[in-house]
Amino acid sequence: MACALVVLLVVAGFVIGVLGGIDSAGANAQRAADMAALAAGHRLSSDPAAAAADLRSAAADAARENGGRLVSLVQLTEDGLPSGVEVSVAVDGEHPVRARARVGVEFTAAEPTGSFRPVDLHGLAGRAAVVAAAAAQVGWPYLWGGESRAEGGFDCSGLVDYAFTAAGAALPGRPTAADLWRMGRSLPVAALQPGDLVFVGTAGGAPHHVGIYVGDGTVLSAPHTGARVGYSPLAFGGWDGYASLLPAGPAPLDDPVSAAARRSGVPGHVLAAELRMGLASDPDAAAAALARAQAAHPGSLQEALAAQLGSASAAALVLRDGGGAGVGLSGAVRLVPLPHGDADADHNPSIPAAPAQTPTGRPASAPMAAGSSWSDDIGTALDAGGHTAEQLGERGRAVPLQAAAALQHLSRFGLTALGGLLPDPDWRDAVNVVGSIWDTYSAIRDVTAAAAAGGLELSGVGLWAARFSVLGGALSTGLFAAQAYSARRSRDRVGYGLMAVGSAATTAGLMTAGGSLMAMGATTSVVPPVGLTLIAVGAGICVTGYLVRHPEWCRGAARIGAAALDVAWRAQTAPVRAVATVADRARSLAGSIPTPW
Amino acid sequence: MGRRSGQASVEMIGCAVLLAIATVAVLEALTVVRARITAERVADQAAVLVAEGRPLPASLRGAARIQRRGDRLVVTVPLPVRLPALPAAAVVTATVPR
Repeated sequence: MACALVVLLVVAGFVIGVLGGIDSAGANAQRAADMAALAAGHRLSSDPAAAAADLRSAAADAARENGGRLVSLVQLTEDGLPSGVEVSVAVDGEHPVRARARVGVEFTAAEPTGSFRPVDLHGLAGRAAVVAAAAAQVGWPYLWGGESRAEGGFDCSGLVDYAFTAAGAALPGRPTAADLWRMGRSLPVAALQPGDLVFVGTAGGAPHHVGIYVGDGTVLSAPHTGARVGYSPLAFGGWDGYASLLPAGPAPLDDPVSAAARRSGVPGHVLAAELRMGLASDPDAAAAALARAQAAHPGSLQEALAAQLGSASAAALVLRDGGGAGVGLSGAVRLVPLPHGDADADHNPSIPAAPAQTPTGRPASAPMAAGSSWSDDIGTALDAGGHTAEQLGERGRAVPLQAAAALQHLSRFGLTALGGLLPDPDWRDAVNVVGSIWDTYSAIRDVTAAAAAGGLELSGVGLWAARFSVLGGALSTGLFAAQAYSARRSRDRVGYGLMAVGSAATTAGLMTAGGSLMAMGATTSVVPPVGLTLIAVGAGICVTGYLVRHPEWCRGAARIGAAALDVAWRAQTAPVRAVATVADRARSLAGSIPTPW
Repeated sequence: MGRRSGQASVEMIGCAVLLAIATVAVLEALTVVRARITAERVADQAAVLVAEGRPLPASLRGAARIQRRGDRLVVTVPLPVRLPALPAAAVVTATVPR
């Protein structure tokens, strides 16, 4: 019984060691995956248009620095916009495992505090650029003398000055409306083209108000105190003078996006960005939606965009696309849970926000504090078990091999434990002889397979099983020898003696692997063919020892074998015997028929 | 009769010693695995928090000793009982992406 308990404890230690090793490797892989995903997420947050190769490079570096190897990286998108990254990382070693991690990136835009809305003209020049730059400022409040965001708004000439500067045609000084009138080339109203200026009060030679003609009979201006930069019909502004600061040339085409922005009174650059980024397809519908959102959020274009698009991150990306590098972009990178049963991660999944209370996005139990309660220990053990199961599930093709090896060795150890636990000595021997036959068969199979390869390489579960087998074999040899010494019947002495010799041979066969077998730091060890042969012979001797102690098994086996041979013979000869019987019957029937003569 | 009693006592003592050694070994294995699991968990969570730019909560610092050396986090969980030839603590290092 005590020996059985020792064996059980050894098996428990073996299981703890293997599962602990797998869990440790899995945790290492998970950490490498987390760091790889976060590295790629940070790269993406600083540049939403970063190439996949850049993200992969950042993730691969982080994975390598944490002992892992990047297997794959998938860039996640939401409504066509970058929203995160998912990576898969492998850790090679004694317990090769894989882990996945996913991060979400929430972008935030920061417009400069000291100037008006930056605008990315996307290659526009000349008149079209002046109109686009002015159209981006729709909604700012009028402020007399205003020319900066810090001041809180525009006045009419400040808007013109800003638009020309943003379009790359900076005007000298800070011209007033009168200055602009004097600088310009006077035009008849019929000759107005987008980008030309319209004035009020030219009769005295010093107009007091100026606007920008944007085409289609519309003027964009900062009208007066209490109003905001916006569009108004050319016919209703009291405009009495028209001039141009731009060289004469063909009028730019009035594109449908600018026209839609004009009709709804929204900043043209963000509307164009929405359409460019595929967030909207109908300019008029998008412009109307943005106008409604701006009415609900009059103080912030970013908030209005977020309300329109349903995503603050998308709003930030739109502002950046429309405003260019002048709009600061940052991103909050958070680890987020992996979707369950998500076989195909490249399908624009919606990434939930990271929970505020847990340190990581993944649901994880709190770390176990030193000296914590048993309930914490059990929780941690369950957590580790779940983690190990996850890792086993992530191990791909390595799982069947490792799991099969573990099952095989655990079954063998379990058989040994069962042999020690059974109360009846005959039953114990019966179980043990089955184990020895198993060993003999395995060793013969290994000898056959490993003869050409120069030996059997042990690693992982197999190596640990061999280490415990050496200890168990040495223990068994001593116990069998002691039993042989103290046995009263000669049959038992011979039987136990054979078992002791067999166990010694098996142990010696395993030890031919050398020091790498027992060195804790070694991850592989090779048992040479001679060692495998010793194991096979030793296991065979053990079987013989059991049979010597139990001749009744041999007699029973002989009887069963004879009966089986008899049944087989009868089955094989049944047709012949049936034909012979029929022939005999026919012959006797023929003999019984009387002859007529 | 006397000889048989003496042999049984020796066997019992031997088995008891074996049992004790096996029990201590299994308990120590449990302790090492437990410390390792704790260190791995703390290292992962601490590295994630640092990479996300968030502070480390006190509960995490209470579970292990966390040292930051540049972009490396070294997490140490000491073993409650130290046996000869075994490490005194489970140490895990995480490298936080820059």
